[in-house]
Amino acid sequence: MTAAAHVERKMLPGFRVTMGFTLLYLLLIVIVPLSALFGKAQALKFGELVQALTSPRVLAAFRLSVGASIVAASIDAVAGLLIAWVLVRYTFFGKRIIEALIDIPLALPTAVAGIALTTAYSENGVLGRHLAAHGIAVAFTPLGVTMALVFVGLPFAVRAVQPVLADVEIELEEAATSLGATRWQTFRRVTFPLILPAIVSGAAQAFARAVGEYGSVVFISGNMPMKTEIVPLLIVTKLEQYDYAGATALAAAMLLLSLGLLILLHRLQGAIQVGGRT
Amino acid sequence: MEVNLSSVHKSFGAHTVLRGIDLKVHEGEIVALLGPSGCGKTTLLRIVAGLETPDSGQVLVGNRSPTGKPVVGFVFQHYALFPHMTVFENIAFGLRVKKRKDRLPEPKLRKRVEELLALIRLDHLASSRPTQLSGGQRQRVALARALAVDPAVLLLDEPFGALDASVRKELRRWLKKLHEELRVTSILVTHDQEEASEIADRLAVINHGVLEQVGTPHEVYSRPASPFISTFLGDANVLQGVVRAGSVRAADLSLSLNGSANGNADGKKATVVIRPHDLELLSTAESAGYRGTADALLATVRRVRNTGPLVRVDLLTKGGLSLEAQLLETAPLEVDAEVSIRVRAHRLFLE
Amino acid sequence: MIRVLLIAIVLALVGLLLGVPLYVVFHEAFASGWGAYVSALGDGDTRTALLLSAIVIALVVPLNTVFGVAAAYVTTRFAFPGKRFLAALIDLPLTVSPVVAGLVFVLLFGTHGLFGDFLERHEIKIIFALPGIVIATAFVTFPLVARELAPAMEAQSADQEEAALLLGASGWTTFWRVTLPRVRGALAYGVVLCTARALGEFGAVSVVSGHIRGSTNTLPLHIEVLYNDYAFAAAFAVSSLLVGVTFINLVARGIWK
Repeated sequence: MTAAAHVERKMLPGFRVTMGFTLLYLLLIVIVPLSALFGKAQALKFGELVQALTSPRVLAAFRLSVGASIVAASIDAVAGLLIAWVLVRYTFFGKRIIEALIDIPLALPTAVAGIALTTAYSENGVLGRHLAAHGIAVAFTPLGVTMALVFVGLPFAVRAVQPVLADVEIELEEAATSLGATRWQTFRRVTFPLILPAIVSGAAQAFARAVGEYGSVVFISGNMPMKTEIVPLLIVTKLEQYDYAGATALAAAMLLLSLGLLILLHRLQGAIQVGGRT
Repeated sequence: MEVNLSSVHKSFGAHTVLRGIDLKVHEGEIVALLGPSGCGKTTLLRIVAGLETPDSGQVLVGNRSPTGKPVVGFVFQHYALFPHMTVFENIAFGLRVKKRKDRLPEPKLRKRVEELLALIRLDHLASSRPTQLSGGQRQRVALARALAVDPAVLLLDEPFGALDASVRKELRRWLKKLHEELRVTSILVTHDQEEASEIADRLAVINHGVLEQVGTPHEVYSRPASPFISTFLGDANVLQGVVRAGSVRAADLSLSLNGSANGNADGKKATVVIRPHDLELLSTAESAGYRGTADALLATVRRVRNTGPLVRVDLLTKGGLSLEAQLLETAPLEVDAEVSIRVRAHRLFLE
Repeated sequence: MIRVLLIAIVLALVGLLLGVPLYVVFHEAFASGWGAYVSALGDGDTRTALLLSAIVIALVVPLNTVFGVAAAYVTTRFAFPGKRFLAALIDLPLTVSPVVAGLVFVLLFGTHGLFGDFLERHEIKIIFALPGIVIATAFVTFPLVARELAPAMEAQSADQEEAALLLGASGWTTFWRVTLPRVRGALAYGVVLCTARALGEFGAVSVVSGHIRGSTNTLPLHIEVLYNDYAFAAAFAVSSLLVGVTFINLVARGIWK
């Protein structure tokens, strides 16, 4: 082997070109705009900022956005686990169709999802009419908002758990069985602890997506201030009323929330990789 | 408790893995299921464990069929330790999942686990996670975990397959000692005949799903029931010959029938197996005494290999047979030298 | 048995939660008959919206693809300080609410924005015009190509590229003939994802576009306008077009994953 054969990665060309372009693009499209947001938010006086963020209408919107997202993410976590379990452990007729359907909320344009969900859950809609018969109204209520967010977050919950579940060595479960554990004991003591980080990660991803979701929710919510107004819509409304300060404050708060979630998710990813096999 | 297998058949799809296995494992003995990869030995072990069900035939552990309930302890090749539990909890697992009425009170449970930890000499690692242990340590924990539930039968699936050679040897010895202490009926699956011979009381050699021979290591080695077994256990020279006029002929080699055929064997094909250490290299003086008999052959030395205490010599007889001899020591041999060789013992398998 | 029960529950869940919206789109689109469906698609404003959407993806997708390739290459083939931060930065638009994304560009380029005066003086319209829509869409979709390419490039060692270089190929040649062909599939899928997402982007575009019917409405915005005008059948008719794109997306995913 000659010395030339020991090529270090640094000899790969194009570092400057690709790095330069990447940084430039990021700068223009991401960094500058986001800095403008924080700059503008900073320009607000502290009093203004607090007022913008704590008016009753804003607080109600936060309660709805965050509350509905938490509920939706929890529902998604359970449904996601069920769906992932069935997809990983069983084969059955129509499995491939189900696999494809899971990704619909990711692939479908949010506006289309929004009007379709509203129509489905409205009083004479395909789903809404059965619920109305039991006195449950969905469209234009917080429940409707929650159901739309369940739709939006489901793929995240499923896709986070699926690969981790598939990776659990079958021998671990066989070992538990050979030691006398029942199927439930095996699930509770062996399988579940191993997939728990993935379930939490999926729920967190669903939550992150849900809290900022606009198109899928804005139609079904009805947007009644103090009742069914979500934060993203409130931002748009304030913009239309030229309340730039208010909109900026809200947007900055949302952005901080996003950043916090991003960090949390990265940590969770680490935990998933560490809790591996023997 | 003893294990009784009768006429066990198993296929996976179109592939028949086990054909009519009959085997009896006595109380307190270790039997090694020995055979090449894919011969069905692991499947058979899993059937005894209750992890697979046979297509036909009977499997009895004690006098109950196995259903995966804690009659058996199973040790996996890749340990299958629970990564999210400590060593202590791994060993305690079988005790914790017992039905309420069978469960030990916590202090007794802890004591039992501590006893086992002492037995495998890993008391100091009780709160460690499996990922922090070496391969050999993990396998010991896996064994302790299986023993914790007082199994009637202990099943080990290539337990040392994933370990380094030196660790393997050490654990082999340790397992043998442990078995002598505990005397649990055990079945060990391995493709390593040295390991099987060292640990097991009896060997069950399986080839392509068929149980070809069961016996002590010595029996199986010195009186193999088929050419396959003779080559699988230890080195062997395998020759194809024909029976003619009361002896078996292969090229320029003529050997006695060893009483293994009656008079009407003429013309039958036969497989001759000669162990390398049963080939004698004669000195010139000794050859003189044998000249004229077909027992001594002339051969040229093709290669000499000094591997530690043994000398392996590749020979080519005048008649074109390639043979390997194994000697403890010899006068220096040169390639292309001519020697006389004599077959001290051989085994014969008729068609 | 428990197996059958679980499968049944999952089938019901998926059907109700995910299948129903699809059904609704087509059911409503054709509720007023085939004729109404066709005329909704042929309507002038619809065609303008279609054209606008097409222009947007024609601009956004190639730009983001080039970026995606560059970003994936630089993060998987090199080590440098701050790499993890860069990777996180690339992921950022995915966690940001689309409305926030639109807002930041309004803050930059709107009449009261950072560059507002400058733009007004030179009569450049970004917000409430095509450029704003393009930029906002680019922001929201730019991680998509990079995120598909990066794992594919990561999974393939740089050995082949180094071999090409040692054989005398130039950087560009190596890139075109060795690097790119090996990640063809991931690249194609990334482009499909980016295109589908760009076509369907609603929140961010809604903020920057000004909703001027017939001039700054992309397809999703046009759907909103129709719906708010109670022209339900038309809204769903146009939606069915986008669902067509969704199917392409799902099929591509099924092939690639």
